[in-house]
Amino acid sequence: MSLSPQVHQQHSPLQITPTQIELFHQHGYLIVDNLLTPEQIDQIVGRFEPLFNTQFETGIYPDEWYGRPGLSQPDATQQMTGLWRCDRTLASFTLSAKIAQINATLMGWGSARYGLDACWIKPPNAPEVYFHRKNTYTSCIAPPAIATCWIALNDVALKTGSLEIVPGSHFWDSADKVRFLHAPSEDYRTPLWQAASQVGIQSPQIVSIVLPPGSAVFLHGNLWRGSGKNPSQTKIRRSLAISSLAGHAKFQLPGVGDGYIFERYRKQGSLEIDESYYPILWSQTGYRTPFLADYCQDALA
Amino acid sequence: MQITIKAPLSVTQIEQFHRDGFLVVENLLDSTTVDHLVGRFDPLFAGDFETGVYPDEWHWNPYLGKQGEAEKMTGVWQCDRTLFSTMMSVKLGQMAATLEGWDGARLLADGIWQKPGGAKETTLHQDSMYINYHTPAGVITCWIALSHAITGASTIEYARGSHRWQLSEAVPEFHNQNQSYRSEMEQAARAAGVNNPDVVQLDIAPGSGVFHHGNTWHGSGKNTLNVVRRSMVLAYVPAAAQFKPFGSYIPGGYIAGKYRRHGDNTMDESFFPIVWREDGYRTPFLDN
Repeated sequence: MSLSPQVHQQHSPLQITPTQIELFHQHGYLIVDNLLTPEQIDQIVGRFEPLFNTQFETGIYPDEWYGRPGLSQPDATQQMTGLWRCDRTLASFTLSAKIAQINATLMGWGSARYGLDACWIKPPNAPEVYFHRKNTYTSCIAPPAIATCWIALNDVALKTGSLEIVPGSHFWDSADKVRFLHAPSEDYRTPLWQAASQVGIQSPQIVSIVLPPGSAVFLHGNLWRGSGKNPSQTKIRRSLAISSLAGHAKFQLPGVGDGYIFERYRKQGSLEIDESYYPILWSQTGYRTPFLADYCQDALA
Repeated sequence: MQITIKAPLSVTQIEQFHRDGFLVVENLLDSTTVDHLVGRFDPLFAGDFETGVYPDEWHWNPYLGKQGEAEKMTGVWQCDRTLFSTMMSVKLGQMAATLEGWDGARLLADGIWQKPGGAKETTLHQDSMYINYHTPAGVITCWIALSHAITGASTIEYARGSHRWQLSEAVPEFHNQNQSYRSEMEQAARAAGVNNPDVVQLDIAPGSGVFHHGNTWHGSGKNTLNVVRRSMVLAYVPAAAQFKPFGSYIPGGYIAGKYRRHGDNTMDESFFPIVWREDGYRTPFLDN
């Protein structure tokens, strides 16, 4: 699908400042408050229960689905990826031009396309999530880079197994590999300790992200992140992660990198990432993949 | 109905398929192949994907899954080349097309199932409930036993002749229902004027299989024995199939709907390869 320059849409002005961009590059993350209103959070959270009970508004299934009632352990983390195809209310947020614009601006890209969208629901006692780098999962993409807007949908705090990051770790020249992230049988920080050791850091500074509902942390794809067990006996931790690829991204040559979900959508003999599967959400030129206008509203426009 | 004979099935087999809505075919896979396929199951469910590509569906893993529940994975051909080599079989595709009278078969979806002792019932359903967005219409499924499928151990069961009943509304959940796993089928039977549907539980040796029509009601009972039931499923549509014209998405598109390009009804062979066609054509990348 070729870029069609005649399609232009106006979006809310970007509020990210040069100072914020500098902080993002320095630390590998940036917190932005009040990205969503309480009403918008209610809209989003209200869609989760039907989804995990196999009621997909569009009748289309997600790309990943962990934590299924009846089939999973009661305290299993529920994660679903590829939400936009299943539910147009969620799509109106996860395909938002504004979030893609912030992701792109922080990364220095002139445009951004959909990469991944996932909800994470950690019930009481939900297990740990391995430390990892998101870019590890984009190694079949050129450039192998992804930026994530991680939005708290309720209070995210130490007592609910908050997101943990290591500021500055996006600079580390260290290896990672694709792992199943949920409920590791070893210390969930093991990959982090190994990576830190590779770059000669004995005690990496782990920061637990504390966010009120509706606030977000933007994460560089190379930043190490993970999360501990949800120690709360009563509180569920809910978040929505919206990740963007560079608008100009292509597939690597066949056989390069781990395919993860992305490779499923590769057309044989082509390096093009088709906009039907990975639409352009924001561009400096105003371009946005045309079918999105028919598919769902932009909740943040 | 006029039936054209196409090897490797007999007229009698084809007639039986059209009469019952299903046909058992023995010795589809040899024991070595079965062993190789089964050997991939545990790594796959544990997330060890040989190609690094994730499946379309991955219901159950050893980290978050409840012990004793049914394990299901679909879209496996992209994840593992051992399974790929069997799932893209010319012979199986040719049999499927022959039974339906098509000039070729396109693999729409694949799946592997592992039901340990104690695993719950799989609600009876019609595959066409979920695969009804293409034209020309039609879907045929090949279910292959990779362990000895027997009564009491969640073998596949069919409502004989139910392919002639009307297509019902989609069964919303077939892993985890609170009602009898046959209740929706029985409701459809009553609507078709059938008071006592003939439900057949098959005894199938590893490597043998059964082809069923897309409208045939099928499912499986609870696994009450201390054995693991394993199977592989391949769903085919006509080689010439395209998506019906839809708008911005395919309502009820299940998994295949994810792969439609906007504004293009083609079922791209990158995602839905043609495994056999009577003129000799086969999607080129399959043999690379």
